[in-house]
Formats: sequence, C-alpha cells, structure tokens
Amino acid sequence: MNFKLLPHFLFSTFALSTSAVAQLAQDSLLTGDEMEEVIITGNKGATLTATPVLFISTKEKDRLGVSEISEALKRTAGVELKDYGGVGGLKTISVRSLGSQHTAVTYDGVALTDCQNGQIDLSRYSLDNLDKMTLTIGEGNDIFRPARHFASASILDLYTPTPTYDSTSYHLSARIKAGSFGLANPSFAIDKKTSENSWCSISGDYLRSDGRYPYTLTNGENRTREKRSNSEMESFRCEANFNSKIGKRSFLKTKIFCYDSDRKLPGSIILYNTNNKEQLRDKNCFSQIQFRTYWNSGFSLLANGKFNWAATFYHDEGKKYPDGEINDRYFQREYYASAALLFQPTRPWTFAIASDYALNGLNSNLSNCVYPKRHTLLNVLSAQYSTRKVTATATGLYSVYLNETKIGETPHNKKRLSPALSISYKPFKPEFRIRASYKDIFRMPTFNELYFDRSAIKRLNPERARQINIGSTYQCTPSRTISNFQITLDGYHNDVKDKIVAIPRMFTWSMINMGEVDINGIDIQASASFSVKRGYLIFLSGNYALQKAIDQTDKSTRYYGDQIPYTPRHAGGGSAAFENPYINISYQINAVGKRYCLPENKRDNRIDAYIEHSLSLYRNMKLKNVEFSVRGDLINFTDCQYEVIKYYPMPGRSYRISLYVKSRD
Amino acid sequence: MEKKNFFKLTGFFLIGLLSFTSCSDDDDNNETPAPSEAISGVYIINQGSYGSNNTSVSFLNYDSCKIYNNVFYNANGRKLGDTGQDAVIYGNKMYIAVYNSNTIEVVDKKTCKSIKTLQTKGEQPQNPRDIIAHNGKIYVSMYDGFVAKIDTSSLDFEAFVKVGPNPEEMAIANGYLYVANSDGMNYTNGYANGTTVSKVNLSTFSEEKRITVSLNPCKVCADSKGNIFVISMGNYYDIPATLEKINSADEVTTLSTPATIMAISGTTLYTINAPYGSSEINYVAINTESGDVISNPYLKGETKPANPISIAIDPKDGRILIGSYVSNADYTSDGFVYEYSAEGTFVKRHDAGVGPFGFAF
Repeated sequence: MNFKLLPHFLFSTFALSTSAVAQLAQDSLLTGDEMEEVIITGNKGATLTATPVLFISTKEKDRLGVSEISEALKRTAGVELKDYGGVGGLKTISVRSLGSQHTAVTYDGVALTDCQNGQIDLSRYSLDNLDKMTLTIGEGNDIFRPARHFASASILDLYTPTPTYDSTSYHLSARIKAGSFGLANPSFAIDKKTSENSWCSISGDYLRSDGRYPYTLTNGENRTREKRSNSEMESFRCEANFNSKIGKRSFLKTKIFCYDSDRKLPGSIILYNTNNKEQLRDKNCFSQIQFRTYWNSGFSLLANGKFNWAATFYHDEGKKYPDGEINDRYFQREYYASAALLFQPTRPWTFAIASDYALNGLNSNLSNCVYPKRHTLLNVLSAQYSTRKVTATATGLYSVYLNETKIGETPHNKKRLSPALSISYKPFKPEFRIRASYKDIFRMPTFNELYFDRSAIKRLNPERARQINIGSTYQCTPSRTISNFQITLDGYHNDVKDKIVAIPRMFTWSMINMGEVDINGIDIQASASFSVKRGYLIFLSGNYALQKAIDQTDKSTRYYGDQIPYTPRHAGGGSAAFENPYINISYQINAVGKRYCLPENKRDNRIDAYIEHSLSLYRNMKLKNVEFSVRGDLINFTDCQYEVIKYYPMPGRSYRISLYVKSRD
Repeated sequence: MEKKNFFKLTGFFLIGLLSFTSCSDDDDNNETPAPSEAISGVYIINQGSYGSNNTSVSFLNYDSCKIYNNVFYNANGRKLGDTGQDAVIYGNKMYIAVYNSNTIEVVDKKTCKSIKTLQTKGEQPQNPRDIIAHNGKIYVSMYDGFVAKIDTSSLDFEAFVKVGPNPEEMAIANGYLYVANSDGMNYTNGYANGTTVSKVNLSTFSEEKRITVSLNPCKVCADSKGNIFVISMGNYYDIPATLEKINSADEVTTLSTPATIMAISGTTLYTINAPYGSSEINYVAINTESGDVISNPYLKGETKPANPISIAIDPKDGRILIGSYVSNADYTSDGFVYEYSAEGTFVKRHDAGVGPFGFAF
C-alpha cells in the first residue's frame, strides 16, 4: 500500500487531523442531558448548570496565564487540545475523546462552520478580542438558541465584549505582543457610541511568526538538536460590529469578520528528509445579523442570519506532481437562517422551539470536483422546568440533511431524531447540586470524507455519539479569607459508533465507518480564592481528568480494547496566582500522561508524558485617562521537549510580552 | 437503560478512583540477533504507517523457522525512516528504498549494518520506490518520474533516465528494463496519464519506447522466457484492476484472470485478486506461456491471509511468502508474513512489522 495520495488529498497537517488518519478513534459523545458545569475560574454560573461548563472571563485570563483560546482550553479537565505546534500550527479541541468534529464553535451567538473539514481552527480567533468564552459539554441550560447549537456533542461559545459608556462616547485601545520565534502581534480596537441606543466597533490584528523553534529529535540512540523549518506564517484579522437597541424590547447585532492567513507548513518530521515546501492560504469572510425581541405575552424571538465564504489554497511542489506543482483551491459558501421562539407561560416552565436552515456548497479547481451541496434543516423543541431546587430540560432535535452533487452519484439523505435530557437537583440548603444528563447526537460526514473517495459516497453514514454524565457541584464562601470555593466532580460514559476513519488501500485511501469507541471518565475541577489582606489575593485552581477511551471496533485487530490514539489516561493541571498592588504573579502547570499515536498500545507508538510549567507577571495600571496593562509570560520554562501530535514537536522555552493601552471611561 | 447505565457508572466511579496508579500496558521485546552468513532466510521490508517513521526490516530465518523484527534498528541504533518500499540483495549488500525519507540504505547483508545512506540532492529525482539489481548496477524507480542507476562499486548515483509520470515497479528481461508508469499523483484526473510501460535499454540507459497498457499500471514481473506481466490498478472506482502480458515482441494481451498482486517463479505466475470491498480473495496460478490456469487456489488448506498486500516466491526453493495486514480492520498494527511451501501447504504465520511489503532473497 502506498500513501502517496494522502498528503495531496488531505492537504497538509490541517486535514490530517480532520480525517482521523493519525488519530483513528476519537469521537464519542458527551452527555447532553444535564449539564454540569465545570467552573475553572470560579464563576458562579458554572456550578448551576446541569451539564459541565467551562467559563472563562477576561479577568480569569490573566490569572490563568493564558493568551490564546487553545491555552485556556487545555487547562480544562476532559478537553484534549490537538496542537500541531507553534503559532502557525493547527489547534483544535476534542472534548472527552469524541473528536474535534463533535464540538461546535460559535462566535457571538452564531456557529462557525467548515463543511470541508468539519472542524474549526481555534488559532484563527484571538482571545484578546474576547470578553468571555464558555464550553458546554452536552446540552446546556440555555434553550433559547439556534437549533444548530443543539446539534453537536459539545459547544464552545466565544463572545466579544459589549462596551459600556459612562462619561465618554468612545474607547480606543491598542496592544502589542511580541515573543520568541519571531512573534509579533499588534492589534487595535475602537468602539464608539453612535446614538443613545447604538454603538459600533472596529478591531483588527496582524500576526507574524517565523516559527523556527529548536527541538530535540530522538532517533533511536541518536539525539540531535534541530530547528523547525518551512514554518513562517502571517495573518490578518479584522472585524466590525454595529449593534442597536430598537425600541424598548428589541436588539439588533450585526457583524462582519474577515481573516486572511498565509503560512508555510512545516509538516510532520520525516526522518532524513526535510524537504517540505507545502503552503496554505486561508481566507474567510462572514457577515452575521442577530435580532432579538420579546413581548409581554411571555414570548421571545431570536432570529439569526449569516453568510460565510471561505477559500483554502494548498500549494506543494515537486516533480512527482503532474505539472511540477499542485495548487488546489477550494471555495466554500454557507447561507444560514435561524429563528427561535421562547415561551414562558407560567413560572417553572419554559418552552422553546428553533428552526434552522443552512445551505453549504463547496467547489474547487480539481477536475474531480463534484460541486457538492448540502441543505441542512434542523428543528428543536425543548422544555425546561426550573425551580430553586430543580432544573430539568428535555430537548428533541430533528435533523434533515439533503445532499446534492452536480456530477455523478449523490450521497443518501439523512433524517434523524436526537434526544437530550438533563437535570440538576439541589437537595439541601448549601450550594450543592447533583446533575445528570444524556445526549444522543451524530455528525454528518464532511465533504472531504464523502467526496474524496468516490466509492464512499453511497457508503458513508453519520458518526454517532452518545453521552451520559453524572456529577456534582459544590460552591461556598466559608469565611472572609476564602472568598470563593468551588468544586465539580463528573463521571461520564460516552460511546461512538460508526466512526469515520480513513484506511489505506493498495495505492490510495478509503473512507469507511469502522470505529467504535467506549469512553469512561472522571473530570474534577476545583478553585478557590483567598483574600490575604486588602489588595492581596491568592487564586488557586486545579483540574484532573481520568479517561479510558477503549477501542471496541473489531476483535480481529491488535488494538481491540486499547486506549484510542492521542488520549491520555491521566491529565491534570493547576494554576496559582498572587495578585497584589505591585506586580501580579501567576504560575501554571500542565501535566499530560502517556498517549499513543496509533491505535495499538505498544511502545513504538507511545508518546511520552510531559509536564509543562509556565510563569506570568502582569500589572494593570490606571493613569488619568488611560489604562495600561503590561504582561510577560515565560512559557515552558523548564524547556520540556514534548509532542502533542507525534512528529510535530512543540516549542521549548519561550517568552511573550504584551503591552496594552486603553482609553478610560 | 438508564438504570443499567447508572450501575455501570457507579461501578466505574469506584474502579476509576482505585485505578489512579495505572499500570503499564506496553509490550516490547524482540531482541534480534543479526542474521549470519550461515543462515538462510529472507529479509522483509515493512512499510509502516505513512508519516509515522516506523518502516522496519524483519528477517525470516528458514533454518529456525523464526522471524526477527526491527533488524535494521537493532543493528544501527536508529530508525530506517518513513515508508520503506522494497529492497534487493546484490553481492554482499542489501539496498533498501525508503520512499518518504528519500533514502536508499545500503547495508551489509549479513549484519544489516548500514554502509552508506544514499540520498539524492537538490534538483535530482526523489522518492525511491522499487529497486532491482542487474549486472553490477542497482536500478531504482524514483516516484517523480525517473529511474536512477547506482553503481555497486562506487555506491553512488551514476545516471537517471526520464520515465513516468510516477513509476512504480520494474522488471528486467531481454536486456531491457520495463517500468510501470503509474499516474498515482494525478488522482483528481482519474490517473489519466498512467497508460504505459517504459522500455529502457540497459546498455544505453535510455528509454526506447513506451508500450500502451491499461489504466494506471503499478506492478510488473518478468518470467524466465522474457514475457512481462503488468497489473494496472484502474481508478479504484469503476475501472477494475487488469492483468496484461507483454511478449518479447512487445505485443500486449489481456489475461482473463483479474489480479491486484502477483509474483513469478520460472513460468508460473502466482496472482492474488483482492479488490477493495470484496470479501472474496482469489489465489490463481497461471502458466506464463499458455495463460492456462495451473491451480486455483494454489494455497492449500484453510489458512489464508486476511488482508494480503504482497507476495514473493523464493527463487531457491519456490516457497510462497505472502505479506498481510492483521485483518481487514487493522492497517496500523504489526502485520503477518504467511509462509507456504512451494506446493501451497501452509507452514507458519510469522509476526512481522506494519505492512510487510517488500522481500529480498
């Protein structure tokens, strides 16, 4: 069997992760029933939900020492970050071993999508530009959402800030970040009150990095110091918002977002061969509009619309290609509309109905392009019963997927009903809750999976994931010194069926539904803050995840019963921050147990455990009309050499400094 | 079901809490003595998984009927690289073509110790695939459209000849090198330019002609009478694999037996037809001169490979060796080499590396 087609088809690292070639078994579901919230940072909301939720706000970013979305997520129990290394490396998350395509990502309330690969690269979105983010595992307590938000196993919501105007009518801010390996990242933001009821904002950032970081290559008995090459990247992102209150009860939010990046792909390390010339250009623009209103009768309406356009250009060169190079160009478009209606007839009861329609299309310059289109119709009916003691939610999602192609065979259409249930119960007075949830969901094959291998068109079925979660949360303020203590403990069972995997044939690849994974795990998160004395605060948090994600595909394989690739059995981390009037200090530790890069759990496939330590110093100052923040991060200060994805080495010790200036209210 | 799951979960909680000290589940052994001169056997090149740098060499010792894995690693303390394809023994040396690492490892055939790592530079052709020896020279098909000639005394590249688009296997007959010109990198165009076998004159080392065959030729073998057999893989969709014969007058005829894998011993062509998605695998032996079926199946008994990817016939005693993945569902674990006698009687199933693909006698 030859693997020559793989790089071409899956273009690069990006799709490699997409198509589960490297990580065969990674999907299953989380529970949607009841959400429990895992509060990393001590936000109250997190302990109240019936399913696990991670919540990070601006303030907590500093304490946790994170400056990228992916950094924040990797400190969450049950979340595995797939990181291909460096600033330009793809970063996606897999929640509780279900695989990245089972996590939806929303941006200010509207889903980000990619019909080609089915996963969102989190490195495209800047944490600096966000006000807060939440990760909900299973079905959240918020039932007043677009239907698409119910259609995945977990959901990451990103929110940009809403400015408040006290004495001024505008804010200006600028940040410059710089760091190791040629990182430079200037950004700016302007927002202005345009009338009593409206404001607009523009923000943008530019990022460049050469990514030429050193790493240690171990090849048997030989250890050599090498440097990543072909890793330069540049990106530009800008965003404009216009938000308005219409009358007393309606809000209108509009957004235009543009992203353009150009990067070389260092690729995986191939022994004795450093001749990699791959390049990737990504362009993405979307505009979205959201309208929200309510009436006295107990009805509320939420309407969303979006147009999304994305282009991906993959370039590689070499005489083995038909014209000495390949320039694959893919273009995708999405038209999306959603309406949700909330009805609160009497106090404990809330009902919601949501309907979404999306049309996704992909075309490319490849001569075998079949111009696929997909119509997605999603309808959700949910009911919630909520008292001080109990919150119970039931949701039914009915999905219809209609496929079209301009040329050749058309895949089967799919219809399916997906239930979700959750309950959280507070048995006695203190803020102690128990929660349980169940969610049965699936993901459709992506266009890449369906249309690369023509014989897969009629064969591929959706990948199914079920989640069951049982947990408890506790929150208290025991004394004046310990201002907030929280702990959440969750145990879960997920299973994935009909997992879509790429298998090699004699001279090409094929997509089939083969995998079956059984996942059991425990997530624990705890945090506490201590007020030492006025102005001195200590903040501690920690998390631990135990996960057994067992392949149950086929007894004839050697890996039957083994832990699936890229899933540590043990992972944990912690952070400690000391805030004081002089300079704040935060320390973070992140530990990940051994993992395997291929399905068989043998030594050759093992990726070693690692512990990463980081240190941050930061200070916020307010002068007359300006707020300043200065921050320095020393990342991986013990210079630990490790890999998240096999043969994609991670950077060793590195630093980052950032300066932030903002006009005051 | 809720109840069942509840108990499951409760149990799991307890077990989970107890199992914080996890045990090691790795197994690793296979310390390998290097093959010595006195021992007869065959080297096997295991491809590994693409991008995993886990191609490896196994040695099947005929005398002890035992297989030794990771022979290259144990002899050299380093890995062979990524996606090894094929190897050939010539004189006292073995030459191993490693596709994705773009290396040709020259090793001592007795110890497997590396003598030289040959690598093309700069604009020279890249990605060695098939390797063959003849009259003091080693010929390597380079996937970007060339055949490289290596001199066995200087151990260096001597010349390149343009073939292609993406040459795969080669065979030598009548003083000519026959090269299967696949078009594997052009899958988006349905492998449209892969329609020929190049005939390279070995004395001038130049391409003399191109013989038109079926779509996407990948495999070539020669019999002892100067006939060439070609398997064209088709497009893996609606054009199936085809077996064709090129006689010494360069006339092409199609055989009625379809095949995806083959090997020749004398005038017997051993074919395996294992098209993807078919549950049936056929093992048909054909007379290379008449085209008549000699035996079907040529493997006797019930023990047959689950997912064969390669076949070789030992030229000394005619024993049949078939490389196979573990099963139809497992392409990433260590595979098997099935050993049969020349008569097709099952001898033993040996544990090899991932994807046993190339054999060197």
